[in-house]
Amino acid sequence: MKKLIVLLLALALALPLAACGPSQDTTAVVRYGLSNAWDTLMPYNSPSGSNYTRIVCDKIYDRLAYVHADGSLDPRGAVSWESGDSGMSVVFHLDENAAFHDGTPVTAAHWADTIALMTNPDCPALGRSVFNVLAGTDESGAAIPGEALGAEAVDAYTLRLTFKTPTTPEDFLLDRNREFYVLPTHLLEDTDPAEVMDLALWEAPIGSGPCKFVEELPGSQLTLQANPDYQLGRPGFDLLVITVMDKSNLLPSLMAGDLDYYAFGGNLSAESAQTAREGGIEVLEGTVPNSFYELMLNNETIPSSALRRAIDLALDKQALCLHTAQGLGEPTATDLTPGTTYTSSLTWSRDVAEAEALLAEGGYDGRTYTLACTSNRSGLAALMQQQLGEAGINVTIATVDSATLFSGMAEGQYDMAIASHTPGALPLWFTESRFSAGNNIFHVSDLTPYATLISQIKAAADIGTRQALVDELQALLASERPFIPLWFGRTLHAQSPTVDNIDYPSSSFSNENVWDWTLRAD
Amino acid sequence: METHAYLPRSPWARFRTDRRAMLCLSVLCLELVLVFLLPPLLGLEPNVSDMAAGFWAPPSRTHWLGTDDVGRDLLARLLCGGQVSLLIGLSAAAISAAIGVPLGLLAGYRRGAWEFWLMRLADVVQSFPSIVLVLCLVVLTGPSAGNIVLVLGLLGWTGIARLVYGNTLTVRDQEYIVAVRALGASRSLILRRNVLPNVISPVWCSIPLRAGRAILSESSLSFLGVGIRTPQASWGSLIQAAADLTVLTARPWAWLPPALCIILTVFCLAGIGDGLRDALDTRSRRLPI
Repeated sequence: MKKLIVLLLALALALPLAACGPSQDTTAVVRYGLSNAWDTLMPYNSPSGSNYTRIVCDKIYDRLAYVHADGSLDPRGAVSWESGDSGMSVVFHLDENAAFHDGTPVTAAHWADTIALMTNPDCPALGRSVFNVLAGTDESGAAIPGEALGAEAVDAYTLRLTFKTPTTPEDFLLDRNREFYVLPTHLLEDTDPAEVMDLALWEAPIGSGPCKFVEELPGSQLTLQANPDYQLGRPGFDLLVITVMDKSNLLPSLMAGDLDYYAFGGNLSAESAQTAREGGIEVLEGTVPNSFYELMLNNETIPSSALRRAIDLALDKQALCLHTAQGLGEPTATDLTPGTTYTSSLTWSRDVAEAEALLAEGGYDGRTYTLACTSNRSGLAALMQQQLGEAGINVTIATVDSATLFSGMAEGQYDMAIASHTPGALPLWFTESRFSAGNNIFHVSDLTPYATLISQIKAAADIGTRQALVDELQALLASERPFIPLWFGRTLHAQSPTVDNIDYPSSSFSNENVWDWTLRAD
Repeated sequence: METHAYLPRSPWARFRTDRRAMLCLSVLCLELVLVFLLPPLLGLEPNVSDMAAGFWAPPSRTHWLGTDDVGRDLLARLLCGGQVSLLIGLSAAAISAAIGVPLGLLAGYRRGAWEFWLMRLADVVQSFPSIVLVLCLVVLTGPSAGNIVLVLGLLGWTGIARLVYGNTLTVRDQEYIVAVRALGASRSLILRRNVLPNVISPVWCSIPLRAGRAILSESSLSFLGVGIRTPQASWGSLIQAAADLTVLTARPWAWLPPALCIILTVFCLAGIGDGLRDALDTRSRRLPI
């Protein structure tokens, strides 16, 4: 009996100790860091419309093409595309190997049905405005009853998109590709459009992207699995674990080996580069601007263009750019991305005396404006506050999260806000979506002059005519100053020490080539 | 035969004999004088950038503690941040005591429904993780020094109320209280004149500790990004602004001084609390030699 008890006790001790041995788990996991949480896994229902949601949806859902940082395009959901109907439509030839995660092949009908459903006025899709370029939709992107919608399945694998104005495939994809996803409409057939957004499907989504949904801790962690049947190839890992962490922890986590990569493109500041190099991380410089900073203005609470121009002249953009981009950026007077086809002769300058004169002309009454910013830009906001104060403009700072900032601006709660965007190669990448009745985020009282010029630019056939119209639009923006362009920034990319084949710069277009990623064997 | 040395009669005289407590008090007073008098005397501007010095300038003759990410003088921000941190700490502790003492007295003296509901309320408040609750309330009310003081003060009453409640339970049935009650004194008079003076000593000791905790809570809130409003500074927000690997490793002047100030202040407040406890404890008046 005694021996039996001793044996049992020895077993009881040995079992837990056995668990301390080397792990047998051979799952290849890519640990991916993100500094802000996605707000939904339903790509057309993001309240913020942020790049954080887009970069997450990019993994689960498929898009038509893959956009490189330099503006070149690669096939993705579509293998090729061509212009048709004298430039009024684009025909996409879809990849016949594409399939949803439940095994259903992706067809042109899925794409057409997705667009029909999201543009249905009864469907409460927050991201509907992306469709407003299509024929048969209004400014908000909602389908106009009685008109033919510009999304048609020509055959099982041919999709035709028809536009309101002539649009080249390149223009369309550079501008909208990151917001066009195909949904599993075969699972939505019996759903009332008004209730689509309430479906449990979006909590465990089925897409046709390179990764399959596994589980989510909302706002904190998302676990995805490599899609072995993805048409561009199986990602070279088993699991992709996306973890939300404070921005300041991303690089230390990469250096400590707790992360394999962080979005977007392992971006880091010039001053963190030295730390990264000392920590054994290779750092490469980006070649194209990947960020555009603007000061959003509420044209309703700052109604005089003289006041808005005064704010522009009071800002020392060079100092602001130096503060945030540490030399990796150029101050700007326009929203036209440097290095692209379209240019502007407008230049910026700081002139406090002129700003004071414009304040007097605009009848500034000394009121205090509220400047909203996210917490990581509070230093930048404090610098702006001082510069505006030097010209006599009173500002108080409200530190809020990104979603609150944009919703607050949309609701007219703030007078100004600091925002940054991923710039595009097209001349209207910034203005087109912000000067429409559906998204008048600057609260401009009369959109007509902007809308007219924007539609003329879109309709212009040759580059020369377009450039002349772009100049006209930029001159109008400079005289009215509905928003203040600050600077274009480039970035440095911290290279992953464990994952190969990452196309770092292209993450600025909210797409990542995860199907090419391979986890190093060691 | 054991001999005894008699300690001075008044609590203040007894407190003065405690060298450690006096050192802590002196340091705290010096800190108060420095943070409130130096900025106006030296003309320090905590919210003005010196673009000539640049961003993150190291300590120099012009900027003794260097500059921050916006080119602001860190000494000025340290001193003005100290005003905010100390005011938040002391005000929150005062609010907690102002609420906790009367509630503890009522619960302990009246008992019954008062005791049940007030102590259950204290249980409920204490059952939440304090930093999470404070975080939620500050986010809801909006981050500002005033709101942080209110939230920390309003949530900090439970400890003090329990302390007073326990002591009141002991005191309420003492003969002298029964006698005063028999003489027909009103309840409020008994509470003010007879109960309160006999239960208040531990509260004096706990106030510095509460102030220290409130300073740490404000620092935590600022570190989490929901502290006071930009561009106002506090010791916590100064550390939060330096929460970056490069700054932490290469620019210790940005975070070391506020961190040391927080440690020193909390240490001094704890020392003062200990000294007050000893000075107000009637049982320690006679110490064996």
